[in-house]
Amino acid sequence: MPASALGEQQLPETQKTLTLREIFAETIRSESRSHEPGEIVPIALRERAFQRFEDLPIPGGRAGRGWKHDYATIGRTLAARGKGLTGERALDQKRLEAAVEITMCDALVRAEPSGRIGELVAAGLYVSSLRELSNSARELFVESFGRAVRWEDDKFAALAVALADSGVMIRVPAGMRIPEPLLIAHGASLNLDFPYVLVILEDGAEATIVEEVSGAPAFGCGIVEVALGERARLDYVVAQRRGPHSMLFMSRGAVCARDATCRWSVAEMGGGLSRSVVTTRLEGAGASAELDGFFFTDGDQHVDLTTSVDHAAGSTTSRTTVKSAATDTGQGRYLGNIRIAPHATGSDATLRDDVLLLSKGAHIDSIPALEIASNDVKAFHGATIGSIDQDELFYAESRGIARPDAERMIALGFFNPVIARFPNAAVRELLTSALAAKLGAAEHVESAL
Amino acid sequence: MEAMAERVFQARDLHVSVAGNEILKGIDLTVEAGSVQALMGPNGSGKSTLAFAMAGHPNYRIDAGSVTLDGEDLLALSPDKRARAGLFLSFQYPAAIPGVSVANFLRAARQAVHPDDLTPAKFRKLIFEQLDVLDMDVAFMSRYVNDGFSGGEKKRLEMLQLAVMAPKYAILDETDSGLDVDALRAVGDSVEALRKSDAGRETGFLIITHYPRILRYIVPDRVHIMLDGKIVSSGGPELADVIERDGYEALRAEAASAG
Repeated sequence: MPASALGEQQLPETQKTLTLREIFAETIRSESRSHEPGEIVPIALRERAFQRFEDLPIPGGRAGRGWKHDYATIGRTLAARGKGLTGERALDQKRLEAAVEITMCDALVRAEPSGRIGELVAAGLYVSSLRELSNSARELFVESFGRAVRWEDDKFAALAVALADSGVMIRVPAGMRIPEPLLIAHGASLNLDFPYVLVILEDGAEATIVEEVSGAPAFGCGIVEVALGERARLDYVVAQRRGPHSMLFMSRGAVCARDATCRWSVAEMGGGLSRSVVTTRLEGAGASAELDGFFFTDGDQHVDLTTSVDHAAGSTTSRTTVKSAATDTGQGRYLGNIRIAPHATGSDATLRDDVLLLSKGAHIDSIPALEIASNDVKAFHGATIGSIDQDELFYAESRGIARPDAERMIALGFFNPVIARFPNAAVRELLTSALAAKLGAAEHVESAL
Repeated sequence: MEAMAERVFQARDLHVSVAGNEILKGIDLTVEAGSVQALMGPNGSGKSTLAFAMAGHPNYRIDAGSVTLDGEDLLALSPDKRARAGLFLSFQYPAAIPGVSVANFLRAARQAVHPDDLTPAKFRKLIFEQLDVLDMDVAFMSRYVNDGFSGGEKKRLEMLQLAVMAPKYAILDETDSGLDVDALRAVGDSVEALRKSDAGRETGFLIITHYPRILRYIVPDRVHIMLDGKIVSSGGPELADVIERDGYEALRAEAASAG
């Protein structure tokens, strides 16, 4: 067996510490006992995926490019972390006025329907645990699996396939528009969390999904796949507020047919280590992708965010805006990828990322990659990196605002333009107050670096 | 009568340097409570340096002299404490603070300078009255501070802050520069409204300007002329007319022959 650094890693604070290989063996044992159609992923596929996980190198770019630790090192120091967010759930059906609340916890899936859901289900909305799919839904699942997230190319997506223990499928039928958000909450009370989510919007369907990633499991690894039919519109929100000792590896992807729109809003707040990959493939002409994302690391937190937009058809548009900040000895990396295929003429891509450093010990790498294979396209990339602007600070101080308050106000303002575009007021409030609390608790919010 | 500190904002023999260059070479200037003082001078004479030094900008080094506000030594205070002591500076080039809404910024400023003295309803009333005076739409409140503002909008926001902070003394640094007639009148109306209000009746103003035209809207009690880091002449409002007619060069020649 190749010495996969993470695979050898012992997870902290479990009552019984297990390596990932032991966890995998346990998964295979328990899945063997259940019978179809109760499975999420066939055992043969799990075995292939785990092999793939072990074979693929740790993603992390070249050593020495500011990536101070590889994932193995981070794993070893994980037990030493201990400040910041609790990882407790903050969103529920009532606060969000959600049509349905789907909880994925400890390998179980539970759906709390609202009064509205009956109506929607009668009109063709389908929400089900992957272990309880109807035959036709299972066919659709098998057809869709692995399309939006190409797990064979990514170490942790492969691991998520190998270990998937709770799964949900949501299908919104053609033409259905659901104004209320659908809430998916995954947080384990145990130490492990391996969710898989499939979202299908048929032609002309519209929906908003809010995914709250809470709890404080030691290790989480999952996949969200989205398939949008022609003219479908999806708002997909990720509010990641996992506990400070958690390691989390999430791969999310969408494929968009002609004139479909996928809008991602991604907030990476919690976790000791969070690797988050969001991929959008614009397969049909006129499709568009928007992504607003941010992360803010403190203590020894480490966030690794990758966004990719693949313009695979002509006249497709994308806008990506990411704001990242770090304080104390927080770290982060943002990889922003844009690809425009040779035949994707008339496409238009914008990538903008801003980095704010709030202490001397903080570190963020921001690495854009634009791969433009067509001439007849528009592509823009803009980036800033810096600390709190002295003129802004003096201006606020001259209004009587004490320096620490002014620094926190300006730092909070840094995120606001992105949060303002998140589609749900309750989510915006939650994230703004979580950021304010985190800025309030940070040892350093410094302007003179 | 009980002995109390004189109600003045005052610089005495103030020497200020920037990056090792002496800019202000001994400024004596007094702004009495409720009075309007105009400080005029050509570009580069040191007017804005005086404003920044008084407000406590870290790039301006005080080499000698004092600045007091109603007897309190301002130079010992950080910029925010100077504001809380009652000083307001309207910036010539105010900074943009992206992501911080005008509403939140004004609330934070008011709370810092006059903690808990207005109910939210009364604060809103104050804002709406001022928006009216300044001919501004309420949508202005949800925009980010100075972010993408036109020159006129920036100056209107400075005036809105002047009203919200209701300072004891206000320095208006080139508030008229780059403004059209309507914006200039709005600025004049705003200052006038503050001076007529209970909160601003005793506010002393130091109006820093290059051109005399703002002084038609805000009539000064005294006019001071600054050249090369010194005040070379002081007089009544008619001094502004002399400048308009003869320019600064005549005064410079006069100062040279006198000196």
